[in-house]
Amino acid sequence: MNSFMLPASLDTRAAPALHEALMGFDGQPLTLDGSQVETLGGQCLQILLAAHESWTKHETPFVLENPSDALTAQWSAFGAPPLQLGPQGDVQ
Amino acid sequence: MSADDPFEAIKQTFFLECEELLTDLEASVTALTFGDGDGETINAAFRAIHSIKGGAGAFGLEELVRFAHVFETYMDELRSGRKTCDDTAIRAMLHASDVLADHVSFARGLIPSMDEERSQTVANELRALMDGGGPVVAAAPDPSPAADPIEAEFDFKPVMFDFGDASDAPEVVAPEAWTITFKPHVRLYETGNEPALLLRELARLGPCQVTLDTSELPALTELSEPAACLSWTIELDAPVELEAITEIFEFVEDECDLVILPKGEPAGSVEDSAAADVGIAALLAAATAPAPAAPAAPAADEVDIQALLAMATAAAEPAPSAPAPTPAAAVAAPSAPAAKATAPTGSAQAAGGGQASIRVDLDRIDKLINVVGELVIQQAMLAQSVAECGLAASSTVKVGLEDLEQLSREIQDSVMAIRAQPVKSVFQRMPRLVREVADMTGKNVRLITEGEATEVDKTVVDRLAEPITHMIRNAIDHGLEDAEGRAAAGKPKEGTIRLAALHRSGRIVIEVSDDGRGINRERVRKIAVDRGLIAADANLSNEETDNLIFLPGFSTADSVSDISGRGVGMDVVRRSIQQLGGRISIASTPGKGSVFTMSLPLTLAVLDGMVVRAGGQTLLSPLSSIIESFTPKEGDLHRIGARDWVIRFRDRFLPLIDTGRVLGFSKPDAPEITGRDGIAIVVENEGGSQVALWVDDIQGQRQVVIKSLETNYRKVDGISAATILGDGRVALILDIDALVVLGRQQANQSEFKIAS
Repeated sequence: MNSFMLPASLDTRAAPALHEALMGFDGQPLTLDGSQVETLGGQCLQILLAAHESWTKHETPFVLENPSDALTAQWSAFGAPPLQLGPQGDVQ
Repeated sequence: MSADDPFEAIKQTFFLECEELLTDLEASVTALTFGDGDGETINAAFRAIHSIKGGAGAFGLEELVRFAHVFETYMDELRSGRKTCDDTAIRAMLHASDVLADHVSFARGLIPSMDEERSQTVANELRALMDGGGPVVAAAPDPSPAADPIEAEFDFKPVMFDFGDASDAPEVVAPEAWTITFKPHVRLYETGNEPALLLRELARLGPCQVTLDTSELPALTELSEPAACLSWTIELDAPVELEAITEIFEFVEDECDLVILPKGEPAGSVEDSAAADVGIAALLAAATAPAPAAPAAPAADEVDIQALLAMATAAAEPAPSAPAPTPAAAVAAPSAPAAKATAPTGSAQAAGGGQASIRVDLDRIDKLINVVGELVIQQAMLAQSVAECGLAASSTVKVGLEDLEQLSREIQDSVMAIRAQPVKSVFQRMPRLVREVADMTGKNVRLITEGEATEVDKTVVDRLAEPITHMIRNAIDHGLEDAEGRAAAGKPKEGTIRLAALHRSGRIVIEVSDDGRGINRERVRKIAVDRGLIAADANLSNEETDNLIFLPGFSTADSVSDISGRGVGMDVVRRSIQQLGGRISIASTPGKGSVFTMSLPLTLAVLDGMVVRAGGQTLLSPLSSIIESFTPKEGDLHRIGARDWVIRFRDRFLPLIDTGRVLGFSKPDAPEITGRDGIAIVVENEGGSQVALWVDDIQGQRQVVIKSLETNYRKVDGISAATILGDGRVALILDIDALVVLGRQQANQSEFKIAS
């Protein structure tokens, strides 16, 4: 299972790099580590949601692990649907 | 990521905008200071601060945002009439706008450190004004100082959906709740704005239920960068004014689709199907949602969202006791607000973006000016070549060439006009300076500015600030009396400094006048004699005495102060003005005040000059320094000493400078002045004294493009710059003042009069 550490800042500037990085994992099971995230902006949210959608469509696991408090808070402030969460963050 | 950071570019644009906004703010506050302000002035100030705060938020400039927020909140109090705009308020505004400007400069990296203590003091001052004094609408029983609630809003955890401001008392007509649909365009992201921040701002107004619409989201591979595929529906469960919501979206209103409706308002007027859905959803929610933690929503995935939301908020807060919105309330709300929602957009544009303008990098304009300069030179050369061909005046070539000449002149003028800027940008910095110097000296000073719209070339504008700053400092420090002095002289307690700009005969004139004590000529004279600047028995006119203060090393201040003094002030001013090709003079009336007048060329890119020949060289004398030129008669020239000459001019004798010889163009064995034909050009130098330049002949008057000699070669004494003439030859532009000094060194003889 591939894993990817999300950077601390997921603002508009970080979007192109995130997009590229996720494209690199296309079709492979992926675990995102959200423990370092401090900010999350609309552009990166979009990319994460689109990625989630794509992975789900191919029935490939796409998991967000250890979301930081800031990530969880910002994610819900956006009103975004929950990603499939890993062990520590599994609140469902 | 790309190497050139677009985000950084946006940030720079933001700072440029900040500059303009700060100028607007300063203008508004100044207007208020003079009692010219009205509600719209306060509004304008509020908008400026609000815009700065909004932009700063997008760039995460927390300190700046924090301060701007306090300032903005205070302005809001004034705007709403909850606080009165009295002298104390204006003083606080002045301080706050200075600190705000400092915050911006600091964020921009223009100043190395931020005076946090001052920022805190001023912020506390504003808070104290908001807290005490004046009628407060809903007196909060909370005894804690005002600092905390404001700070708390910034201690951000996005979980603060319920930070409903208790003091936001419901207005009679405000709907109970709002439904906002918000779809950012790509442009919103590109300009550095962030939906997260807008959502956060909304959450400050009251409890929000945020629903994300991902229906337009493509697959990851099809997602372009940047994209705008998300939209939000926010249900704001707070009876706030429509303006409170539109203000949040004020900077992005053109960069998103935005529909704001009272909750439950049928969205019939909105053709957008998404918005219509929202309306229905909102109605559904309204009917079933007294407890926001578990609202019924139509789509399954939205239930998840609500659940998550509930989880996110549950820990942080008790269930909100906001009034349950009833369909009746929503229906009762007039549908006018929906129409009103678009109104602020229009008025904001009318107020803010009246003129159509573009931002252009200065380098590009400089390049254009250079090229146009070349074009003018090339055109002049072509004209000369054609003239040498001896074509008939009616030939098509000549006629065409004349048209070309006119066109190139027009292009040149237009290009110069592009770079012309009102002196406002410099003048606007002065009120702050006056305040600071007034505070330091303990004097009460009022600054009046005139002619701010006077335009001058960018090259000159940039270099005006320093001499004006010096002159104003000097006027306050030395010119104005202290409070007792003014009272004794029967003058109003408040001293007045007037700063004016005007165009006069192709130059810009800046006047700095004060209503102080004027120049104490006896003292000036005594000091000049003591320092050996003039002879003890020198016979000087009042004007000449006044101008002594421009001499190097002259200081009339009894004590050296931090502000001016050290005896360099006016000397430095004069030198920096001279470097710009300008002049400065003073007129003073004892007991009434002084007027410093400086005149500068409108541009440093082109120059009107007289083409002359001296020592076999073609030279250019700036037209602005020429008083007169004449062919001397036989008896007008007199030799003084071994090799110095004077010339009779209007019953006076002026030192005569042999231009070719002084500059070393003439051969050492060239005949003396009397031995050849020549023309005397009377020029005025720095202090207004006149000398005559001896040249071989005058070839005509023309406008030339200035080319720096220093950057292309090196500094040459007596020469200020160079230009290229129509025949392709380089002509040197005379630096009259330096030439006079050179001449004096060789002549050692100053002007004297036959009778005085």
